[in-house]
Amino acid sequence: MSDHIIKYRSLIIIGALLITVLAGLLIPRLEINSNLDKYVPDHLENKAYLRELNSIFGSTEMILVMLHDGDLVNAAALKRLSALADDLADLEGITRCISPFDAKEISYDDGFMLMDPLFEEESLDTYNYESLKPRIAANQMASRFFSEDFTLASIILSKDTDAPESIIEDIQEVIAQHPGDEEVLIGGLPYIRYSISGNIKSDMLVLVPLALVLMVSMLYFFFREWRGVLMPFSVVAMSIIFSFGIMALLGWQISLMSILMPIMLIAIANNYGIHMIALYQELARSPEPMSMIAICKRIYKDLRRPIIITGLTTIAGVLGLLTHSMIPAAQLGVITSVGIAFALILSLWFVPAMLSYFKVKARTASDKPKKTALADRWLERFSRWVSYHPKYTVGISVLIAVLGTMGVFLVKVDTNIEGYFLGKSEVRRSTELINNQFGGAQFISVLFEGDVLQPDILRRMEYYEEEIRKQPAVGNVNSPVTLVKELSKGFYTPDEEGYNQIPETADEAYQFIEIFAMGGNEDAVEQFIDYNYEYARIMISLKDGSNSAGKNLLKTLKEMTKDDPNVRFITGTALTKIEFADLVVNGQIKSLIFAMIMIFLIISFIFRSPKAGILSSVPLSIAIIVLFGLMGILGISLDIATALLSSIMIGIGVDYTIHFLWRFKTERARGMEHKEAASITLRTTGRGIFFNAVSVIIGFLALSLSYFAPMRYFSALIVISITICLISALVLVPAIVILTKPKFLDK
Amino acid sequence: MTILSSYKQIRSILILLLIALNLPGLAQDDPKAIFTRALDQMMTDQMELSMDIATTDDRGRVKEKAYDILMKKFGEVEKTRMVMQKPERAKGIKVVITSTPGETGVIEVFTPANGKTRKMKATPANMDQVGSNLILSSLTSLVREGLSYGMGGMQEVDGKNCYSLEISDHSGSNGMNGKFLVEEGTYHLVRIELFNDKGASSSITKLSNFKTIAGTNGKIQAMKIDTEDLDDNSQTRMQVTHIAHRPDLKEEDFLIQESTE
Repeated sequence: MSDHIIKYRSLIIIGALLITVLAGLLIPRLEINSNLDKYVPDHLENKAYLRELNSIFGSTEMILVMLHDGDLVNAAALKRLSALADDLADLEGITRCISPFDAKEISYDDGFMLMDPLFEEESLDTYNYESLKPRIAANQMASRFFSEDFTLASIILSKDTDAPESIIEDIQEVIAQHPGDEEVLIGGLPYIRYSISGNIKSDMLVLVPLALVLMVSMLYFFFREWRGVLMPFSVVAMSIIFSFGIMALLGWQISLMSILMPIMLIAIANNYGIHMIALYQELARSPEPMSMIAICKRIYKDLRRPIIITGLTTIAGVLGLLTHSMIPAAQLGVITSVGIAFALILSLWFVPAMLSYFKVKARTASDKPKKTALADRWLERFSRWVSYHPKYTVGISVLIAVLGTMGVFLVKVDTNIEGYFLGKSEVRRSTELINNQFGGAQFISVLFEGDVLQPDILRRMEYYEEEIRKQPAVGNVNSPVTLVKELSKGFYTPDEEGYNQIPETADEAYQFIEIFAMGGNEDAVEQFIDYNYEYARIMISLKDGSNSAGKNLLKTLKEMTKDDPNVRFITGTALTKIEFADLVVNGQIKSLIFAMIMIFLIISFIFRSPKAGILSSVPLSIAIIVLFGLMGILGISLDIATALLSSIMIGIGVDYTIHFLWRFKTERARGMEHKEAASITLRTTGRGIFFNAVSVIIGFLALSLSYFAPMRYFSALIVISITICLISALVLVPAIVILTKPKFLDK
Repeated sequence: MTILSSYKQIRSILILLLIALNLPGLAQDDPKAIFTRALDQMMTDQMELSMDIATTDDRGRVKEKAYDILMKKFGEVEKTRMVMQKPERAKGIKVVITSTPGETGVIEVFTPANGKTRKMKATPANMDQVGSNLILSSLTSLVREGLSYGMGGMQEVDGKNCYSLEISDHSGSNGMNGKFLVEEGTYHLVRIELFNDKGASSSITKLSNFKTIAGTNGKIQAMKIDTEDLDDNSQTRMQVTHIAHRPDLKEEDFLIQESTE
């Protein structure tokens, strides 16, 4: 086969480049999808309930447009707010727009019921604003639009579920048409998703090239020749382009998880080329001079099997993601596997074909010390220490694993997308303002079914409302009770029984609402009671959007309403992430088990021994335990990015282990003793493993500049992961083989 | 859409009727004359009607209502009484609007569930509260001040040849811009298309099943009125189930039920 590679080298190079270019041409077709809900399978409970809730009440997705200034209760600010509300209401994709101008002040005076708007645009110049503030604060329909200190005023928009996220651009355009002194902020989950989409693009465009540049720099630093950089870089770049092309061809969308695909390929696809270059340099430096053609043939011959084996095991590890219920995670597994397979083929054929066109670099007197001094000196010392202290090595590893196990139980899961943004970004600021001043933009609804205006049901709702308000994570609570009590003020005087109270009969409640709705207030009514008054809901906003807060509240709500025959279900966008978190954890466990089993089987088969499978799995297991242990101890949550760490870790870790075992076996076949074989392996193959790991670690540091918090954590964790994999392959595995002297390595 | 759209439909008819009352007859080739003739033959005053209204919202949900309505002018004072008949829980809700030229009128609302009557001043805002701000004074005065008329040629509607009249008014706060289609020969107003301030079609109303009202010297009424609101994608189907000429209506007929206060 190696002869064929040399014979058809031009064809191989042209073919590989052509495939890459064709795949590259498909990339512009790719679309970005940042909607968390779309990652959740349709059959899951909350998603199904949410769909039903939306069919009853319309979209539950809210966008807040907020004015922010020292004091917003003045003519200029309110005029601007009114103009914004008018134009935002007309936007296509906005199903409902409510603002302070929809608030009514209902009262009873001198025989007349007054149901006046609290603000009227045409009268804004005439108000005494200081006396208006207490009236706003006392009016539940108005106060929800203002912060307590009146430094924030809001317009609440309901977004059509099917409207694209680009509706945010239309909103921004409307805001630009109404300039003013006040700062305007946009908030809510649709805005967060829109921002994620935009930042996925910028992350992709900035971080992936940066990672490649860093990786290239490190490769040059290690190999000190451009061909040593060009080959692994070409393999990585071409496999990334190929994978994105296939993704476009299959019509799959880019999600936040997709950012990890090129990163994984940088980490994994890099591996094969590096080992080839390391061997090329080793052969080029050998006492017997070799031609480049001979070196290429030898590289292919020596590395074909370990590269195929590492490729297959890595693919098996990454395909573990197929067990994820999250569609993008499964897609990531498939696409990354395709990329690895392409990188495997490129490494075996394209790299020797390309390399064969170069000449063997002429050696100089000073060449050898420059190239080998740093890495080899350390590897020499290191290999000696490992070879002579295997028991210590295994003992320390076991101790670390035990400590790590304790940390695993501390791992928290958090899939709240509000936490994706860091620092003083506008998204972060608006999210904090909404959570702190408006009670949050994530909602949970308790749906009631039946004759929902019956006084006993309304009283139960009132009781639930009071109890829910006591929960620390809760921002606002609203229900038909709030509405009918407010409406009662227009029918009863303050001294009458019935004023600010739940009506005595369902008919009375019905008629209050009917009269109110007939005045064009359907939107205010339909937030809580459906079109034909068959369903009602309590709407709860969360000022703490974390998973644990949502989970605690859900537990309380379920406990409180478990015997209520009229409570149909509890659902909401705030609960989606909880189901999502469960998916993340389940997916993590399933993919880990799948990957470990597959790797065990493949390695057992290749080395014809189950002991080989166990030997490869032990260091991986310890590495995974240490990783999750550290996450638990450091308080880093498992999220959609960090949940994929173990797959990457397995993909990389198993490669390092196999490369070590393969060379060790070769050295044993040459008659070396175990310690000697381990020492030689560490100084030769270990060099490639070390270069690979360090270049990948440096490449991944680019992610620390990501816009997204999970990516930054991912960056830190991947550095830890690869370091653990490196230590496992270069310390633990040699120690185990020296101690156990497995027979499968002697065959 | 809820009861508001129903009132809007009712008031649309009433507007047209009141416009007709205030316009003199003119030549047939004049759009104003055609419009006037079309409205002049419709039932406007001293009448009693019952109607069923089914509103379908943009998600296909249907809400059914029924009303009994009385209308009469007592000198300069215009009175309208609407009583809800359906749904059952709203049965008996009454709204009486009294409007006197030059004065702020009064809206009275009676809710049978608590026996309470509440009065509101018929300010434009409060007229909006009961969806009736265009019913009486504003539109009639609008007509008196004049509309702009244009002839848009002939157009076929359901196989009938119709005059296409372009009528607009921008004199008051309730601006209107619409295309009115009047059937050639019968002068039945069969279709009204209204446009928003950006010139886009905002609603289409189709009138059909015209009936001559006994004792009115040939006055007619469309018994079926279907409206499609293009802004919110809702549809309203109105069926006049009963209409009668009631010259005998007295002021007492417009009294709201006594409050329990």
